[in-house]
Amino acid sequence: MSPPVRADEPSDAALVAAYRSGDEGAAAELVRRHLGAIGRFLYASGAGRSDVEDLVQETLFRAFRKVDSWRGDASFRSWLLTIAGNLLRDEYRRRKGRQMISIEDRDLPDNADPEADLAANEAERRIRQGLTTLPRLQREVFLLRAQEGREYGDIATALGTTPGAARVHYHHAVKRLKELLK
Amino acid sequence: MTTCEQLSDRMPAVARGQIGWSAEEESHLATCAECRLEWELISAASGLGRDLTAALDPHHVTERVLGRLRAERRSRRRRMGWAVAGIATAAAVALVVWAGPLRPGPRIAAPPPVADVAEIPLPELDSLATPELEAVLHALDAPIGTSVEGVDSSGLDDLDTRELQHVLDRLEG
Repeated sequence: MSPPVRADEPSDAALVAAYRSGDEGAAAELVRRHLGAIGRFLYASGAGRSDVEDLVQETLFRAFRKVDSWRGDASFRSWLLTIAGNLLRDEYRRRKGRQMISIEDRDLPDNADPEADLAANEAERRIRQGLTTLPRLQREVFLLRAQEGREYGDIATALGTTPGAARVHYHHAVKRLKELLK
Repeated sequence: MTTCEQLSDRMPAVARGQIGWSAEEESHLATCAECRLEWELISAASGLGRDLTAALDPHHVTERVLGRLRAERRSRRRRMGWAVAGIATAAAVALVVWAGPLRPGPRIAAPPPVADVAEIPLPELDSLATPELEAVLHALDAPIGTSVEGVDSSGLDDLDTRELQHVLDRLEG
């Protein structure tokens, strides 16, 4: 999970404004806040473990390059995750649709409770596999809600849809993924 | 009364540790297989990749990202410099072409003197004295049939061919 933002810390909007004025320290703080969320989103969306760091960097590079286009309608994190989603789509096309999840991407169980870890990792693998089969909008709504706890209004703004449609996409995704876990 | 929909709405926040289940919600989860399955899904999805991203170094990522942005800005400035130089060169060339080569403009040649054009060689006139030349010019300008000053032509009709030749010989020198 990303580091929490304390009440006395500057908001994302204030940091973005500072970065636009040339403060690179503000960019460093934004990276610290959102790095983990971008990585988790990419991994859950089908990026291979070995690709995650490069894709996180590329997402942040693209985001800072066009930071002026963030108007603050959606949260900065949701905006970043839509850039990550676009990047993943580009990457998927570049690889001509080749599946990005590979066998070595499966998490290896630790030694605390091998059976429980194995079951958990099997569930995780099935969820990841299932996520890659969802339509893009369903997958991104699901991850913004399940991973990031975003409200439907924020999700809708970030993805260019309505809160009602976002709720419907989320429930469709949950229904399909539950089928995979049964 | 806890409904499946209420529980579903709270699952992401509980999975992120922002809130916890109430006793009533826990009791619902214990009896509702669909909600249990959904909770399993949401809690697993919420933790996807957490171990992976914990290993990412924010400082390293920041340096890489900012380094690329700086390099891109430098490259853009260089390209901009070349573009400005190119435009300036093109403008200078266009100016030279438009204004003509850097030398004095072409002179408009003065028309040649009329005398140069109208010069007709008349060696017969070279030996005449100025009064005689003036008399000839006067005779040329005078209407046909009038007498020429200095040349008494009133009696020419009476002269025979030899005498006329003599007068002409005198005129021609």
